[in-house]
Amino acid sequence: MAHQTVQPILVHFGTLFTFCKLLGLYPHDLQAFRGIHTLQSSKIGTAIVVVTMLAVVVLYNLLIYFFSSEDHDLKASQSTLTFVIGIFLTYIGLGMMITDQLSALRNQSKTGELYERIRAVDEQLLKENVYVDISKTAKNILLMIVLTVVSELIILISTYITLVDLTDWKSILWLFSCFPTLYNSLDKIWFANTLSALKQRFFVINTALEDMVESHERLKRWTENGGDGGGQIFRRPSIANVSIDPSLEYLYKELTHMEAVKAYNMARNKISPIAHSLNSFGDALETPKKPYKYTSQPPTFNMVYESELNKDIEKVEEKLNNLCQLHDEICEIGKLVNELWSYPILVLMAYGFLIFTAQLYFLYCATQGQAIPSLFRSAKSATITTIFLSYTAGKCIYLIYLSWKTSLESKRTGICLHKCGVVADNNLLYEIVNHLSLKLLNHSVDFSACGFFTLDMETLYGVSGGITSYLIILIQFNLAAQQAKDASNAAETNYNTMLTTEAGNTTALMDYFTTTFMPYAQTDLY
Amino acid sequence: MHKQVPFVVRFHTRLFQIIGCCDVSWQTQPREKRLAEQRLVAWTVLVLLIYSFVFINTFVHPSAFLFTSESFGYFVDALKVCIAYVTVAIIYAETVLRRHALQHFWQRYALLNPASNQQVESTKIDWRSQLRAYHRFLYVFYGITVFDLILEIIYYVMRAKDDHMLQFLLMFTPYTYMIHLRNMQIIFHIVIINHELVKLRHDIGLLAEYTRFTRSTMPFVGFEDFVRQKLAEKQLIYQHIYEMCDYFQQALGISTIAVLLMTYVRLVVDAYFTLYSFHTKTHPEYIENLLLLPAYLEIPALLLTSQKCMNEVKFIAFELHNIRSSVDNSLISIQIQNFSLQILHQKIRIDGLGISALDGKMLVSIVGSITTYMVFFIQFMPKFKNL
Repeated sequence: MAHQTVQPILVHFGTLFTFCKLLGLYPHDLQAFRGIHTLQSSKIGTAIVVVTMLAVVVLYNLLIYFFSSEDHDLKASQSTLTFVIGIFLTYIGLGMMITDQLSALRNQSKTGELYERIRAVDEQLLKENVYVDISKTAKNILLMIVLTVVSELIILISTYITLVDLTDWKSILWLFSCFPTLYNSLDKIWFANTLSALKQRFFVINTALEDMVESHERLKRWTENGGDGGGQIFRRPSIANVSIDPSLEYLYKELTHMEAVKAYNMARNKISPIAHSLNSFGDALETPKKPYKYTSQPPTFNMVYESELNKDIEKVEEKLNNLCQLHDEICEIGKLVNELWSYPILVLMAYGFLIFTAQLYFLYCATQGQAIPSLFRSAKSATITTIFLSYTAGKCIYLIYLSWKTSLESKRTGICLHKCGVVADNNLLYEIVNHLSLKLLNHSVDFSACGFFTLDMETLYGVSGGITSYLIILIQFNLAAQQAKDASNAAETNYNTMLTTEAGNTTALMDYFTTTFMPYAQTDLY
Repeated sequence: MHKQVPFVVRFHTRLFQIIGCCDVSWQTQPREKRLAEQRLVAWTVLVLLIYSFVFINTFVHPSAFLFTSESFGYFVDALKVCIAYVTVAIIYAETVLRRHALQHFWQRYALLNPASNQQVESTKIDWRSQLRAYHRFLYVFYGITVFDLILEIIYYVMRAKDDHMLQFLLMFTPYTYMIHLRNMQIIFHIVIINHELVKLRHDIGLLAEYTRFTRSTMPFVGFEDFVRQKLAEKQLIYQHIYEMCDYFQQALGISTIAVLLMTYVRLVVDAYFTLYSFHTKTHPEYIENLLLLPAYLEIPALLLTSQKCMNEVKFIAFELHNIRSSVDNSLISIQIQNFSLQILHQKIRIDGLGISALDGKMLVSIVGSITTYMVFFIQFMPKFKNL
């Protein structure tokens, strides 16, 4: 296997890179990427990114300006709350795109190094006879790109056809409403695939450790069945298991005295399978014949084992040490990835939270026949809203889930390491495991957004709770404002669902949110 | 595998098999096992289909089952039924899809409880000690179930003479029972893990006591070697328990969250609706709210049980470090270190999908959020009057 060289993971990022380069999201050198699959910073690329960014900003502002002419009466008709939310959220998408591009510019020299380090890890892993299968990366990337483009197109086209005034030539500008989210998704696809590459490497290390455990257990079982009479001891887990009942404590004590001799035997028998299993660590294709020879020998043989064991323990130590080194290195890479993408992730999470709340709130407003900001017109259709929300939520949740899984996978290495230690039951190995285990305990990778919150399921749970609470509060305020309006127009009772309330029910707080009172026939505003 | 499983465990597993939320068979022959499993899966799917039919039927004839005279009441009822159906569907889907994890769970259990021959003569004391071992689960399970049944009878006797509520309950009660039983199943598994942990803790405690004893009186040859040997065995046992916990979470993790969420939503919605009807009606009926009382017990039962299980590990670590070793023998201390590190790495933490550890903190946050929502709702209560 050693003759096989390692492919850099970037080979599979080709489609994505071309796409990003075409849209002016990444500044890296296209020629270098095509030729030797590295990311190199380039001045022309930087210029292109800056120009694209400015162009999109200008066009997006034009779009807002053009469509906000429809919003002139919104401020008058609706509560200030709706208006402020609308203005604020219109710009957060743009802000997200700018953050992505700026951090791409900032990181352009570091990303190349990042993938170089991943490649180095792969090479090291290959030296340990662990092969990382990266062939699926390209397929995953393609799938994600297709999903992104399809959802963007569906949202764009369906909104454009059903909800935008087609007769006006300026409505073409609506096309630019999808640019920020598209750019952001592409950047996040890049991030997600880098992250899942790291996760895969953790996974490979864990599998290597578990394979060691498994081969050892197989050997142990084999010695039990085919080996000498000492196998009986392995099958019955412990004598202590029997004496759970407190009334048997004395018996246990008695057994302890007797065990003193028996245990000595047991310890010797325990050692013998280890000697064989250690052979299996280096060489997977070990034949069971060889260890059998050892087992069949009388157990007065400890001295001869000793050298054998020591040699092998060094081998195992080296292997475990190397794996832990690699684990460290991957953790470091993980921290680097986290740092490079910290601002984009933070902005994305903020965006996801706000947009999710806002879109649902505006959906509620739209069903009540109230005016909503023009850029959130997709909220008028429940279907488009569903697609849009699943797209946004999918993006955020997938990233959180992936970060959480990667973090879990990195923590699992310690668990697997201890499995090795426990199964082998060897004093020298215990020392090594103790040392490495402490090391692993100190080196775990946790992904966080700029250190504000960690990306794990707990955060997800908190965020969904937050969205629910805010939605309830917003709807309650909206309801109160609406009823205050109704109260002022008590004569007209058009609504079936909302009748008038006594004026005494409106509090001063509600009045604050109700800037002006006016009739509600705004369903055909656009 | 039958032999080594105590009858309390066997009986309740059978019970869970009957309601269709345990698709694991304990047959030892591979062919019979496959057949039994297929039968169980078919049964689960059938039960799920019945539930689906009830659900669809409810929404085909909403006036027969739901509260339709008022839009807010209708919304509340529909929300309850929908979320109950979703939860039941999740439970059954998880039962079918994750049955292998549950299989592994029981395999580990069998590893920890090897069939021993000595038990043959002591069957008489045996069942009493079994009951004692699983007393927590038995109290919770039968306590809540009997309480629920009594309340249902009281309701049936004392209800007002309109049949509408009864019809709703006839449709809705199977869902609540299903969710209740799944909750009990989760508690059952946690209690089993807890029991293993208690055994382990007891053994380690004994070891600690012996080392103290030998140190104070007189050491004898080979004792330390024996202690080390025992510790290594305990480490293996701990690892098996950890794996059990892991498989438990794989097998029941999603439905843990689903059950908690469903109970939570039901509590919030019903508590609110009670306040609401108290506010709007001049003569509100209280009697139907009795039926909600058992649901209040479900969440604490689950959370406190799992908290107890997680706390057990701390005691194990405590007992472990009570083991004394002589200064010149570093083997035991290395072994203790290793075990201690193992406990640090292999954390027994029960959390559904990593969302939150199921312990007292979660209970506090649930109670807190229910209170918060109630305050919101009560503040805005008059506004809803005309909805």
